[in-house]
Amino acid sequence: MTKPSAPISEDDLHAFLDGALDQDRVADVERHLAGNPDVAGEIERWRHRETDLRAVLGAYSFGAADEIPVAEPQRTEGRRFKWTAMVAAVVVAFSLGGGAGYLGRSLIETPSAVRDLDALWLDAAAREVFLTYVGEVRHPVEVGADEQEHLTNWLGNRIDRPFTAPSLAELGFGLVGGRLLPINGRPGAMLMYENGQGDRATLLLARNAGARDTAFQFSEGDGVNTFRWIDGPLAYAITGFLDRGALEDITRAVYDHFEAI
Amino acid sequence: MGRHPSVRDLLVVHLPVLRRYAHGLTGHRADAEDLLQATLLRAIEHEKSWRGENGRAWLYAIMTNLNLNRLRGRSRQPVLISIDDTEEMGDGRNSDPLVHNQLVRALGALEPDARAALLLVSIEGFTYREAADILNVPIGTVMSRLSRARRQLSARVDYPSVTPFVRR
Repeated sequence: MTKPSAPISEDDLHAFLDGALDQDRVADVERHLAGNPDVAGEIERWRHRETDLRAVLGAYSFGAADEIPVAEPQRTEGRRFKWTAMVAAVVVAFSLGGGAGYLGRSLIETPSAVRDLDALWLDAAAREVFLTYVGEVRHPVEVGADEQEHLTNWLGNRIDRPFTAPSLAELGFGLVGGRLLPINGRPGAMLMYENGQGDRATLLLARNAGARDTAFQFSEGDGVNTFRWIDGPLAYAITGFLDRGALEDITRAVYDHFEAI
Repeated sequence: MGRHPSVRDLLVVHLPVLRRYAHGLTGHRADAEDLLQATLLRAIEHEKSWRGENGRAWLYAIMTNLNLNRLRGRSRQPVLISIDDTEEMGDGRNSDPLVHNQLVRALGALEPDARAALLLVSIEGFTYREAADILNVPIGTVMSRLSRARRQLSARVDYPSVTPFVRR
């Protein structure tokens, strides 16, 4: 062996991968890797991941000179306008379906005022989410029921509550899928169900920010009915155009399911 | 005409790679385009603060800082999702969709500091010294962020031996 050299550090491994070592040190690292196949394998994984990542991100490496804005003294206003327009677009999105836009406006204008989750807020969120997505034919959900396990793992991770999707098959409803939503400033989950006639119901799972547990509470308005309840860390709401009896059946099935898991 | 190129020239040259960096930072098409626009405007507004050297690093520093502002604003306020743009970035047109999805998700799961360090060094090709200047931290901090990013990415991405998105 040659003369002893400094032990190989974590930094050396990265610098080796990034081509930032001098020749002698490269030789040291190569010797180290030859004797440590696990480490060599890890570095190979890094290399592969980053080669792939370069290919993925490389697709966005384009642009033309006419995209560069022309310098003007009023530019600051231009940027402000853009943000305003974006916020307005989101308010419109939350207001779709005839809702009052309560959720959208509140989230944007007075985030602190809605931080305390109360039943009124939950009701409004459930209605708005339902009305926003019930009419979506092509994209009512982000992840479909065909990837149910992935869907619930993903959403469960995001809301810090592992769960499985309740089966409502006995009531004639199948899972369409779900999506991640901003609810009360935290990640929340929506699952959408549909029956043979195309009736849809949404189940909203929101983090409970400290409100007390509640019993089932029913509310209605403009034909949209909601059952909601708060149980420990989570707030639940089931919403649909369904009549109270049908919605109550779903609510009990969902409640029993979450009690059991 | 100054002796060095104008900021506009600089932007024309670096626009494509800035867009790539914006997509890497945000993982979201609309956010990336907003961040890119904000960066272009900021560079033009602050043309005088560019001393005519290392323009590329200067542009990346602007984008990095604007992205931090964006994330800070976001942590105070609920994340807003518009219904027309809920998709994560990318259509995978030049890569295996499985690889694409896993990588994009894993990248998105990294904390912002580690993510930026990895992107600057591995994707954007900056030296450690340049990345440290852009991030305004010591080189040692760049190294530890890089290490965290690589180890987390490696642990989270697991292909092609399994297909985790398929129902068992």
